[in-house]
Amino acid sequence: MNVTLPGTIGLNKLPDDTSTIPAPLHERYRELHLTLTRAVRRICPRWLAEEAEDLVQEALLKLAQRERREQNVVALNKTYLNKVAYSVVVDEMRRRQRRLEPIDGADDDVEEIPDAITPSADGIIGDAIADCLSRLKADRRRAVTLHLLGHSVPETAHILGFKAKQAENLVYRGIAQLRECLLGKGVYP
Amino acid sequence: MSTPVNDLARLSRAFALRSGAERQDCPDPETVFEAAMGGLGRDQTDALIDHLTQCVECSQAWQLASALAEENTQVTRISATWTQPLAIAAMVTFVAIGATFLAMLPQDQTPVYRDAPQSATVTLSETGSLKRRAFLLIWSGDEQATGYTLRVSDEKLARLFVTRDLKVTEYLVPEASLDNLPSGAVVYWQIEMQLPNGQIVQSATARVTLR
Repeated sequence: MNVTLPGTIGLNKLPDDTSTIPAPLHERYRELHLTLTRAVRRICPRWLAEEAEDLVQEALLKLAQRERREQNVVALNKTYLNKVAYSVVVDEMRRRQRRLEPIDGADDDVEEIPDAITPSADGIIGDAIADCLSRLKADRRRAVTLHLLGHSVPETAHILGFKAKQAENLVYRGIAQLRECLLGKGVYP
Repeated sequence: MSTPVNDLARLSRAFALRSGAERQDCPDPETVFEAAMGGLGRDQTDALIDHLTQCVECSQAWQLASALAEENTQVTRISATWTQPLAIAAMVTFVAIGATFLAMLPQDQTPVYRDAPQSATVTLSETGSLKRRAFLLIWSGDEQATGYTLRVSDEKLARLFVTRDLKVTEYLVPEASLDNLPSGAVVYWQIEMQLPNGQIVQSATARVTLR
């Protein structure tokens, strides 16, 4: 008998597969569904929240397609499930943003449209920041980019593989240079 | 232009709202995730961060991945500091209790066999609504089952789709069989399980809303 091992699923074997029947999947499915739902809801932006259940289904399909491709059950762990959930959310975000597709039933609701596609003064300042960043030396630019994306100095050091002190210098000198550049553009820090 | 930019938070917010032409060279989400988890080499990570500087979409993706990476780190840290000693202590206790219990068992104890197998059942997964292109139905049955029949019908119980002799416990219903239904339509489905002794076991009927 083909038993589904712990940490694996047996989703979506080919319908004409004549192999023996896998062990009951109901509990495993519920557990998998719950883990994916948690991951999707944790990272799903507010403007995509109504699609969360669909995204969970997409993630399940993705897992099933992988099993079909590999013709076997796939070993799973939380990191892998997070990765699958993450991928479907990001793919959907990209699709929406590139098509500037309005949310169903919220065509006139400006609040529901992602900020990133709404022109604003901050957006113009953002362009100035991007331009100034491009003028920084590579290591400094990367450190400041990560800092502007919300990473602390120790995190920046870890990601870039620098010592903490080195990362601190890169961030603070980079920010100072960035402010100087913005001043030169008439954007007063 | 003379716009005040007062602090780092304001810089970060403005940076997040920068424009940027649609890019064709965005890394796939899996790569961004790997990078945020620290799974890429230095050169690849550097290249990715260079991309983030210019690309708003990938910056958002990076921030989401970083949130998951941070959670993973916290879980690992908590596991290392709390759960490992507790797990070791629990394991030692469990082994000690188990050994004592085995020693107390009478050696000539007659084995007890369970009664005849309980009646087999089929359980359907609960799914409120499904997209027509991802209409994946999942159920659990009995290990002895020789096959399953899936029946899908509309609200008036008119048959939409039937497939027999399935050897697996999930099925992706073809989108074409749902073509005539509008979004929001109610779909019913049911599983019939065949057992080796010829017995047929029917599941309850589940209801799904088509999206």
